[in-house]
Amino acid sequence: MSSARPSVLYGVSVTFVQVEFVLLFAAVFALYWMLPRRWMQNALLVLVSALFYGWVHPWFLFLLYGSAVLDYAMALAMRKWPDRRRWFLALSMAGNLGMLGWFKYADFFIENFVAAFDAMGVQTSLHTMGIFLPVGISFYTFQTMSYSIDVYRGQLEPRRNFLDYVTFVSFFPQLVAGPVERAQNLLVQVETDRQLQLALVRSGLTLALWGGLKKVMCADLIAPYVDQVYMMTSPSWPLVWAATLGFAIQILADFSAYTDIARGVARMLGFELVENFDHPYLARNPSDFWRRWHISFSTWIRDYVYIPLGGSRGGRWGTLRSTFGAMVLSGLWHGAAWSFVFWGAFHAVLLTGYRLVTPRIPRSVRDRRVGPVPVGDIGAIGLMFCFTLFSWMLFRETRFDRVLLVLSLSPLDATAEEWAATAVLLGICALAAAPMVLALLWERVVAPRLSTSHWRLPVHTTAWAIATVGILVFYRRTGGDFIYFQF
Amino acid sequence: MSRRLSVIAAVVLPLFVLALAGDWLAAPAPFQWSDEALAYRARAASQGEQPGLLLIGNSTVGAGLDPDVLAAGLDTTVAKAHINATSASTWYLALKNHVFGAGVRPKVVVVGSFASAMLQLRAGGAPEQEAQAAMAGEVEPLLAMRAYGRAWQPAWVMRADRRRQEARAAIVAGTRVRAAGLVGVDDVDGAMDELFGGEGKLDDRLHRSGVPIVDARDAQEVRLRKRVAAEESWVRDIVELCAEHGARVVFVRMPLRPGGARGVNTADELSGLLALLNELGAGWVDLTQEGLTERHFKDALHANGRGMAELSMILTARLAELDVLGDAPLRSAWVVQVDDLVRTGTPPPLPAPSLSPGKKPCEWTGKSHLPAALGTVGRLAWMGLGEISPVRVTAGGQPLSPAGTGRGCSGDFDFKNGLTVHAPAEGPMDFGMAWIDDVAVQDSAGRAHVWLLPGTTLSLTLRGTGGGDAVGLVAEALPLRPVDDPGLVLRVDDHEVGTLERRGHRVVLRAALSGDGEGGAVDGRRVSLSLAEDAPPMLLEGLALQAGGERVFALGAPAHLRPGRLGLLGAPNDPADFATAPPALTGITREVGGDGEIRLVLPAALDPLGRQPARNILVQGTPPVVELQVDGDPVGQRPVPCSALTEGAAGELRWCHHGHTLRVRGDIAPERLSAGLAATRGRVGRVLYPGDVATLRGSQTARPAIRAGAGGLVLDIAPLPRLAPGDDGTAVLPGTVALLVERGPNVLLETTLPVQALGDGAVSLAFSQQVDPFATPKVRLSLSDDAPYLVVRSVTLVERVEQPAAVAAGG
Repeated sequence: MSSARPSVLYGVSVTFVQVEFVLLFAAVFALYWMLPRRWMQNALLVLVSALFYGWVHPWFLFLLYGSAVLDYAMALAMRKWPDRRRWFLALSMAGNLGMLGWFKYADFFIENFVAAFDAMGVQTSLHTMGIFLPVGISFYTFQTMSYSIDVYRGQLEPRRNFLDYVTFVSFFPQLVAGPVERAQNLLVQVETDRQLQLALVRSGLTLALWGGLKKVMCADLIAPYVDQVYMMTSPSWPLVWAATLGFAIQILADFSAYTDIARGVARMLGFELVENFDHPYLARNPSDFWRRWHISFSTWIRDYVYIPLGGSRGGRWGTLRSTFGAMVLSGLWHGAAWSFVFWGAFHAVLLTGYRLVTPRIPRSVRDRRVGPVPVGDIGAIGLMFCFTLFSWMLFRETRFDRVLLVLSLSPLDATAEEWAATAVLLGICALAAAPMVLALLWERVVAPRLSTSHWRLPVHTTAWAIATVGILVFYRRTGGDFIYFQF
Repeated sequence: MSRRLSVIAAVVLPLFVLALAGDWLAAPAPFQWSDEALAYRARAASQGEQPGLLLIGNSTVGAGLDPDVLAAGLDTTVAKAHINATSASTWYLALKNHVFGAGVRPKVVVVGSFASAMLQLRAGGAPEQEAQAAMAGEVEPLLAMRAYGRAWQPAWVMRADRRRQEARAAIVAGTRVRAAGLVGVDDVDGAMDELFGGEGKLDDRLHRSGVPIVDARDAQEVRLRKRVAAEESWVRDIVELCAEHGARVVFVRMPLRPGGARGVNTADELSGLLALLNELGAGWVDLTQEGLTERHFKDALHANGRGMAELSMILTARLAELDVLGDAPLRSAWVVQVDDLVRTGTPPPLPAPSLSPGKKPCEWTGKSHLPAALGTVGRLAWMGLGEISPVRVTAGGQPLSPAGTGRGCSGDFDFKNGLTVHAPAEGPMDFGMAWIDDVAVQDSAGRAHVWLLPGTTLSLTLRGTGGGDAVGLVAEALPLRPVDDPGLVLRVDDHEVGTLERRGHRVVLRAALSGDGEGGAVDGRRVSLSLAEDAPPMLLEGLALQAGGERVFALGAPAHLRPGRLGLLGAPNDPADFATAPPALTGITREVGGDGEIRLVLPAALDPLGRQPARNILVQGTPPVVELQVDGDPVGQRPVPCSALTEGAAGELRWCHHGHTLRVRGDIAPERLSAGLAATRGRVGRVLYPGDVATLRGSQTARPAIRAGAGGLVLDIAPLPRLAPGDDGTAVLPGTVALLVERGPNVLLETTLPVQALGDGAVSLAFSQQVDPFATPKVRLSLSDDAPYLVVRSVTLVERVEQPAAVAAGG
């Protein structure tokens, strides 16, 4: 059984932390707000999105617009022939999942099919095809599917205006790595007139700069260290877990940076995208974690997979089935590899275990405080963070035999050099995490006091300047793509 | 605070921050030359501020040119300032910053290397990047622009870039130091070496050095060693830089060991370089045509003492002939180029291959339907020519690349065991095979190769001046299979000319050209080569012109015509072969230190491979050559790194190997300890034990290779003294080595060599007949029971034996 990723990611040429993007966006921003009509603005957004997405591989646009046209047509057909809407929904699902299945999972299934038959001693003539994975395909197919499902459920009116609809599907800030938007949020805004508001531009710029800083100063700083450790043929216990801590910082910083930049850029254009993160490492339990991590995706999975599978309505076994179904699918969504399946299954086990165990823990223990210190909460957060770290190890390792190797390591076997290197790695982790910790303090302590102060504006502008300098100093051309581009 | 004040602060404060940052970024970074740079300056100025001659270049200059010989012969002072493992960009930096920049004004700068390094645009890897970093100034806009395409970067941007990288490095390094300090580690780099090894450190070094090649992605690209046309290379910059400072330049093409593929430049590359040198008024000396043999080289690249003496004398004569120290313009190099290279005629059609799915994903294989003439195409890969197949193969109409990685579904084909295709396809697939359309096929190094195809004629027009009125024309071709009648006809101006010769399996055609017009004997001559329809395809390895002692190539490359060599893979040592442990070494001395450490000092003669220091053998993953013995039996545990020798539990037996010393710790009497040859599967050299029989084979991917077929072999085998009972290092060694070389049923060589005669240099032995070029003979070595242990350093097949056998054949 192989868990190697069979598909090859084809990257985009323009990403948010490139000078080219900054220049492109500055021009688009100026032109966008000069256009007098909403449809013109939408047309410009569609054009820029096409440029952004199809710059290197224009054929990606066929997939994007293919998915968009399919759901647009199916939604209209559902309204016209409501009796047959189930069939139209099925067509939409088949089209989108077929596209996703082909580009993302075909090689994975072939490889495992062949491996299974090989194990039985049966030779097959099937071969993997080295299919390229178009960037962002998992995001926009989910977005268009949600549109069709919402129309099918009667929660959304199908749209006739194709320009508005395509603007919603291909909106460039969130096209390649989310948030996974719903039509009720984004499409409605696309259909509404936007006005330039300095306050929105200011807060959007703040968000985007903060995202940029997180990407270059947190994620890209720690990434090479994590990569090095995970590439070691003979890792040691302290190094692996320090690197996993680094990866926890990296993936949060990287993904939330993308989301912040996407939200910031969208806000400057007059759109409000959904929140995607809410301090996930402060989660007290697995359910809480999924309410804080990749929120747009977890709610999608909840609404379109977990609840249709029965949710918690089917008794203990029904809930178990829904949870495992939703979480394994959630893992597979991240990539066609067994490591992601295990990652999803592990979270399903966590969620199930949490539901089973929690009622047996007395409330006095859970809510315990020592003086003003909520030790119960702190313990829960610490425990959940340990589980999260373990899940990130499953997520980061691409081979099952490597996972077993990591699990077989003992801290007692580590050499003095490895402990010293671990200390250094932890130092780098602290450096990478520092901006996010400071931001948390800012958000909890400083920002509330500033909200009504005259100092708010100068503090904001000075923070922008500091963030710009920070980005300038820490920016490296070698900084990798955003991690979630590959999903 | 009033609203107005807040607005003012909102503007002023960020501007202040940005201004501070901008000021800091724009300020010149503190810069000082590295120790390497200062040492280099001292070398460049070793003959005073105005040496007559300054030798620069790479290690071929270091190993190949003796400044004293040149100084005596040219009656001038000579400074030698080469830098190992470098290419043109580094020499430019060294000349600019540390020769002319340091006030040294040589009259003549001699730039020596193999030609590919002269045409290399960027640093060729980590060692050269380091050298470049040492030679570079604070900013090097020309390097950034020319080598890395950053034409838009003015110096101030590069300075700012460097400052911000320094800041970043300081923050990260500070964090690392503090974190390591928390656990009591002072040497952060040492602690991190194991973890982060090469790339990160290199990156940091380059950050510190200010070389604009600062990121790993670039470093990755740099490894491609991209060569460029002469006009894009650093040649013009070097010549112009020297001219600015009143120095003349002579480029010297240094020879490499015959048969090597490295540094091979084809005629078109060289003619471009020579034309540029002529245009710039720079001199050119080609030492590759001076007939040096492998006896003049210590390895594939570097001359030995004999080679250095000979090359230095030849260069002295050539420089004197050019009158480099005089005032007259330097004589132009003889440049011959080719125009109107076309192939006419139609080769016989090739059948469509019939392939079926192979065992691996995306693999298709087929053994039948290959025409007999193409049966050996697969062996081209053995000769380093796998990329330039004379046929092209298509899958589903799409052309495939020849001899690709052989992995995955990359869309390539090769001819190993018939035809194998890797194509991303499923189900039935149409494959096609046809002769190549292009007259010249380029390999991945950018070298052009010309095929003569059956039933076709290759025509060209020679262009060039020089060479005189009487010039010899030589065409050499390698047939894909041995033939008695090659069916190759040479015509000059439509007249059939040329005498046919055979050199091994090569076909050689010679003709004389004469002419007294303005173009001399060469310019405007129409040359054609026709190949009969039933002849095998032939690779035109060279079309050369000769006049006096000078030879220039119009097509092909000189290195392709040199005798080739192919190192045979040694059969690995098999521990099972050592029925009993090898005897303990004689002559061991034992010392016990005050700290209880026992040191076994091994005889100096032990280092069996002549590699110094011996500890290099003990790198990770390489089995040790010697092993600790207790009471005459191998201790059975691997050595530890000497730095970790003291880490074991008290009394635990631990040992390490450092140079000629085994260091031992543990609760054991020194008298019980000895050392013997390690009975482990070795990769360093094949050890022949008494009574051993070893069969050696050729590597299928070895390059360089033997294109004309093996005509003999060179044995480099040395006895291991101190392993024969009673041997004190001076004893006459008993025993013999029997050597049998076979090609199929034919015995090519059978002889017996006395052990005592081995170890004093390599032994060359000729075969009774030349082997065909597509076969590798089997070599069997048998050591008699009474012989000492031998180590096989190398067994090399050669096309020609350079000298009579040094050892009398006894069998």
